[in-house]
Amino acid sequence: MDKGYIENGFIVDLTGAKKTSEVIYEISRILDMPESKQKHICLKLGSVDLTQAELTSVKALVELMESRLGFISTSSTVTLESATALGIKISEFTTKVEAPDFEAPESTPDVSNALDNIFGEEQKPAPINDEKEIFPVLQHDEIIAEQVTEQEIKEQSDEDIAALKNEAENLPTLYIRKTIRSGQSISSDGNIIVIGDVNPGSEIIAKGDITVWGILGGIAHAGSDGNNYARIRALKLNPVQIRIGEVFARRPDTINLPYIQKSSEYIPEEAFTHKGSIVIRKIHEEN
Amino acid sequence: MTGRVIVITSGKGGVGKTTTNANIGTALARAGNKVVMIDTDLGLRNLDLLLGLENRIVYTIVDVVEERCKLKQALVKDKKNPNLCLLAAAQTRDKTAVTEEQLKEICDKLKKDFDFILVDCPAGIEQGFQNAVAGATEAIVVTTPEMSAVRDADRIIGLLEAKEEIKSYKLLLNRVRPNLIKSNDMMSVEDVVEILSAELIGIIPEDTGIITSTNKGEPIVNDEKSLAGTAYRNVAKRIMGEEVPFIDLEEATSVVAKVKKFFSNLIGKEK
Repeated sequence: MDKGYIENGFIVDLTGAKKTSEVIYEISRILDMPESKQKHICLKLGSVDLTQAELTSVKALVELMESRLGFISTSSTVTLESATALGIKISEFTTKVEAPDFEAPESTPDVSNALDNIFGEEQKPAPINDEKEIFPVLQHDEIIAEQVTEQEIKEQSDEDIAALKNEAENLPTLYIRKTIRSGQSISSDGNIIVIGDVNPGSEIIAKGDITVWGILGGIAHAGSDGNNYARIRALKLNPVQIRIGEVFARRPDTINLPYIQKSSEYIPEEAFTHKGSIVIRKIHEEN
Repeated sequence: MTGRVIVITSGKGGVGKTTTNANIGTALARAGNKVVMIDTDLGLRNLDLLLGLENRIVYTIVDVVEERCKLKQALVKDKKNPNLCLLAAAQTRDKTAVTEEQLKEICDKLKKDFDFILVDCPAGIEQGFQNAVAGATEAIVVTTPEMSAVRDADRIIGLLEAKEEIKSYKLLLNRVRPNLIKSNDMMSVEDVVEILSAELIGIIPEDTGIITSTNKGEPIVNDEKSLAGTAYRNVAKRIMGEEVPFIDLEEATSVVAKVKKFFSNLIGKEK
C-alpha cells in the first residue's frame, strides 16, 4: 500500500481495493501504524462503490483511529453521491511540480514513456547530448509520492521554497572517510560527505545534500524527506539509481556499465531536479 | 494456471547457479512461457547484473515481505522479453530478512500467473538454502566436474531427498571441457552421473562467451551461434518435456567441427 505524503497528513491510495471489505481492511491496517495518528487522512478510492452507510463507517473508522478524514477522490458515482450526502470533501488529486530557477537544459528527456522504460515495457535510450547526460525520469505517480493542491494543504510559498533551498546549510553533516562497499547502507538526517568511492550495490540516503569525493556508483537519495532542491555531487556520477526528493531516475542502458574506469582527471558533476526530471551537469559549467 | 517452482542450487559457490538461472529463464521465456526468476541470495545478489536489470530495481523481495509494496510492483520486466520477470534480492540486508514461510507464500502467489518460477539459491546449506527450497517442488542441482563441487552436490541432493515437497531433482553439469576429459585430466560426465546417481538434464561446455555475456548483462542463450547457448536452450526444452539428445561436446568442439562451422558461417554471410 502506498502512502503519498502531504503536509499535515497523508494520502492513502486505495485504488487497488475493489471491495468495501478491502477498503476497510487497508484503512485499518495503515491507520494502525503509530505515525498515522492525529493526521489528516485523504483517501484515494478507485472504482469501488461505497453506499452512504459504508462511507459513514469508513469515516467512523478513521476517527476511531484518532485521525481525521480530509477528502476523498473516487471514480465511482455511487461513492460520489454518498460523499456529497455526507458532506465529505471530494477532490481530484493533482500533481504539482515546482520549476527551479535555472535555465532549461538543451534537451529534455521523453518522460511520457518513463514508467514503461523503468519496467522494461519499451526501450528508448535516453537522449544524451555532448556534456549533459539526462536520465529518463519516473513521473510523479502513486509509487513515489504526491503533492496536493487543496485548501487544507497550503501551497508552497516563496519563503518555503527559499527555506528548502537553504535547508542543507542548516543541517548537520555526516563525514565519512572510507569506501562505501556493496551492501552497505548509510542514512542520515543531515548531509552526507563521503571521501572515497560509493560502489555499486550500496546506498546513501540523506535528508540534505550528498557529496562524494570519488565515484558515485550505487544508489543515492538526497532530500529524503521530500526536498526536491537537494543536490548530489560527486567527482564522477555513475549511480545505478538516483533520487532527489520525490524525483527518481535510473541510469540509461546506453551507459549501463557496472564499473567506471578510474582516471586522474575528473570534472566534478552535480545532479539536481529540473521540471520534475533529474539533470546531471559538470560543475564548471555553472559559472 | 499452476506454475512449476524450480529451485536451482549447488551447495558450492561459483559453479554457475546464477548463470544457469538467467539462461534457462531466458530460454523458457523465449519459448513462449511466462517466467519469473526469484533471487534469494540476499546481500550478495547477482542475477540482476547477469540480466542487465540492475538499474531498474526499485523494490526487492524484502520490500514485498515487509509490505512496502505489492508483489506485482516488485517484478522487474526484462528488457527484451515481456514474458520474463525478475524479483530481485535486497543487497543491503541478509538472509534472515525473509523466512521460509514468506518465500513459500510468494511462490504460491506467483504460481497463479506464471508457468515457471525459477528460484536462484545462494551457496551453502544454511538459512538461505532453506528459504530458497521452501516453495519449490522441483530442483536442478548444478555442479562442475570437480571433486569438491561433486561432493557438495552430493550433500545437497541428500538434503533435497529429505524434503517432502521436492518431487524431483535433476543434475546439470556445467563448465565441461571435453579436451580435458579426453586427456583424462577431468572427470567425465559418466563419472559424475555415476557418483551422484541422478538424472542428467544438461551438459554445458565451458565457454569464454559466458564471461562477456555476464559483463554485458545479456544471457548467452540469446546468442544463436554459441554452443553453451544451444546447450542451455536444450535444457529448457527438456524442462518443457521435449526429448532432446545431448550434444556430443567432443565432436562439437573438435577442430573439424570448428572448421566446418567457420565455413558454414562464411557461406551464410555470403548469402
